[in-house]
Amino acid sequence: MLLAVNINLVAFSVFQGNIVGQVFAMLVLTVAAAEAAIGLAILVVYFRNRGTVEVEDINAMKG
Amino acid sequence: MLLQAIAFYVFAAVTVGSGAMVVVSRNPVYSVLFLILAFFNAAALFLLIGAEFIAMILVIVYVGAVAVLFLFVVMMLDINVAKIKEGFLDYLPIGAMIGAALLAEILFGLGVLGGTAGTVSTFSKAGTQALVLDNTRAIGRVLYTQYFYLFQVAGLVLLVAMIGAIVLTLRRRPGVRRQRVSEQLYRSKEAAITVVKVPTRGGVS
Repeated sequence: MLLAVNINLVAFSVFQGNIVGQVFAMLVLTVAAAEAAIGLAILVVYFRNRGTVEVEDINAMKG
Repeated sequence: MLLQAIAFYVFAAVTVGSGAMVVVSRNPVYSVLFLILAFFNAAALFLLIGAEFIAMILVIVYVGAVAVLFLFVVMMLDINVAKIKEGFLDYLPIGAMIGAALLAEILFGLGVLGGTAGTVSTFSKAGTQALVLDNTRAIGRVLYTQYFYLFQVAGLVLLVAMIGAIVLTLRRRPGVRRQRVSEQLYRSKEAAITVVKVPTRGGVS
């Protein structure tokens, strides 16, 4: 999805001759990388604690 | 020009197709491999459009780091995806509706479905100075001057993500013996060795 956003940004940036879109695309890339790292870390910790990643069973925050 | 158009359509079709395969395929490892294929094709699209720097960054960051991270985690956890994807068809209608709404928005924006035609084409071609330089130089010229604080904030985001991932996954195992370098370095000579005067034929007790 973020890749689609990036394609959009770069395409408009090129066709309007404005380089800011590509700078912004790079920032989106940064955020996506950070997000993937954190998300996968959470997944790893969850798997280590529970031994499963079944989506149906994830209700630890339900109280 | 025709060759460029053909290349564009080929790359775009492969990107969309492999994006669909990421969602549909049964094996999670195949999913990640299709994701890598999609990233490569998007990089090729960026190359076609003339944004070389973003294309290379895409290959390095997405294919080199993010996709490998995904692959690593997917292979480490043995996930039964077939079970997870059981309810996939239940969500298909609502997903299709959202997709159709987004497509309709794009078509409205382009003026295909009536509406105010030519919203996109009314943008002027102002500020074409960026295209005179080559792509990387132009990005650097803007990124390190005008958007310098944004650049720093991006670095901070990456730092926070790195620290967060390490803190989340760090596991202290109690039974492991480690080298404690600081203690080794702070030992004094007096605490470590004793000099014993050995009498002749006495030996050391």
